[in-house]
Amino acid sequence: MEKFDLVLVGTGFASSFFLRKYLEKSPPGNRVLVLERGIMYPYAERLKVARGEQSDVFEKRAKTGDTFINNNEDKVWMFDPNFGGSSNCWTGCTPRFLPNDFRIKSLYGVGQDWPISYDELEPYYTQAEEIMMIGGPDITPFPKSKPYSLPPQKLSSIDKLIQARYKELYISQPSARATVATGNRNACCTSAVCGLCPVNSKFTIENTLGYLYADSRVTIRYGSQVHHLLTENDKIKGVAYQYDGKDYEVYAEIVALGANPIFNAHILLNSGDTNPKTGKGLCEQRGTFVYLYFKDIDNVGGSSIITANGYMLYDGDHRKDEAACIIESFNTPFIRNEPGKWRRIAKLKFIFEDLPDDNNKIVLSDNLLKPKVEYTKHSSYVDKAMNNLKGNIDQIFSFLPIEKIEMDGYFQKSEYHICSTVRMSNSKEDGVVDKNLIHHQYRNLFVLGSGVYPSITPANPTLTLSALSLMAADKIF
Amino acid sequence: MKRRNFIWLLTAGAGGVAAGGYVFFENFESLVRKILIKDTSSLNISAAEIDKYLLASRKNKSLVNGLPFPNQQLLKWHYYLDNPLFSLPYNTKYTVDRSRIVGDFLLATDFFNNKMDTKKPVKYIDVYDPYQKPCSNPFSNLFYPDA
Repeated sequence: MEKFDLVLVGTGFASSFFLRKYLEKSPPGNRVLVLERGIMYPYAERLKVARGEQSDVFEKRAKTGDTFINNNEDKVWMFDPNFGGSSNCWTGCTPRFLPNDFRIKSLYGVGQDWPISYDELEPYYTQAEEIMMIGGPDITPFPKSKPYSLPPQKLSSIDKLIQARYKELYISQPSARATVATGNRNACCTSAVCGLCPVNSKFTIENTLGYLYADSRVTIRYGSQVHHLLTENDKIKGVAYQYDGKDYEVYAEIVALGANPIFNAHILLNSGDTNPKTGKGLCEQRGTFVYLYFKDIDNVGGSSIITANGYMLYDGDHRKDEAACIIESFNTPFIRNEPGKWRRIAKLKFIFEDLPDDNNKIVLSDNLLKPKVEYTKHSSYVDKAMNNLKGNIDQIFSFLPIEKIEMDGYFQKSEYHICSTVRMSNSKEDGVVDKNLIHHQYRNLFVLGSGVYPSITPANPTLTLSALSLMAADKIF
Repeated sequence: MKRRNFIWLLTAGAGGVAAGGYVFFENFESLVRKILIKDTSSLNISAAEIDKYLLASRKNKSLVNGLPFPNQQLLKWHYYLDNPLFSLPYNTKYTVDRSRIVGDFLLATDFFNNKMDTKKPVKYIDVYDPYQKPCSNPFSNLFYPDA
């Protein structure tokens, strides 16, 4: 049977940032096997489809809906199961978490503290930001040891008014949409369809870290879905995967699971992992749109899809009772359907953190290759914040010349941020992995990605999970 | 019940069913045309420009053929039944979708590129599609560098 120094599952953010640090630190003779369940569905082919042109690759891609079972129509889970994972469909929003996000139990008596602090993660935040060439402002609500690599996105006329009022609590959103051309990426020209950037400005694994998979130490196998780990006492011997309907096994000194939180949990459950927390705590933020209509100010001059982040409802003692909220200011070409007031409108999204609940979980199904999602509901912590939202909006935007406010009043079905199915903790009673993302029982197994988040915060998770992967590989190798 | 009342009720019921059927089955493009003519009446624009957009929408991605069926129905029922005294539920969703319809049309014209100048005649250009024509968000800093 083949044997590798490292077997890595998946090619998304978690895997690729881990692999980058691993290759940086490992000797030339090491052998790495990467198992990717999807195909290489390149950017150029995706762009063809978006333009209505023929693509031979399109129908061969792994399709999200075919990969897992979800019977809850009100809560959907979004990701891309092909090479590069969700870097292909993310919008490039990269705020850091706040220092207090790492200790919400200690400070606010809710949720669970992280076994690491913001300060421990800070150097890796910086590295991840440099790899992605993040553009962002000089002043932020979170401490930074180095300035951002690229200039910030430009704020809209309304954003500037709000920033003048709230200073560091309302900032140009740190973003992986390159504000000037860098590497293989063009400068963002505010097309505002960032899920698939028309000018290849957004950071993706393919356009920036694709070279890792061409390293002489790395072998990548597409269409190879890992379904369980080969275990021996408290050690992982290797992995079992399926390719083209046939089963294969390989040995490994070290295994790193970098699939998404649904599949990482599924692989562990299929492997007989007895940790009581494995698969439990499935969680995602909940977001809702609000529209502000202005009397006499046009909202123009902003940047791409999301221009600014507001922290006015984020951190503070209110988190003892209700969820923290981050605000996103949109700059898609929306209008207000009233002559003379076409652009006297702002579109804001209010995104609430949720608390992981063991009743929301990943379980096994009759199909070895398909996890089943059992999601009941979000917590009352979110509902309390939603109930207070109208009053909070009236208060924080009272200085603006607002004519009326319209609220969706319902949550979006997905925030594209799956979290917390294999949470990190100091002890195996409270979680699945330790502070270095190593499984509490299987000490040669890393579990990467946002599945390890003990609490999810309202902020976008991608930068943090990328930093965690860099940290995990750096500490161990 | 008197025979006369029964006949009145029956007629009213049949009329209601017919009107409801009309709303439900009305061609969505026809409704969009009515909305666009009504909501852009303050602009210097001819119905011919609207028809160019509708014709192009049949072959391209636009909200005329891309809006989900439930949203289409919501638009139809609100459009015909809402009045100053009464509005159906989900009014915010209706307002947003109606704005999207009008916005999608105006983005296909030169109106926003002309900085919303109501004196200039509005001309249809092309269906708005950032994948065919990137960098064309007319409200961004590329078009308002000094905002």
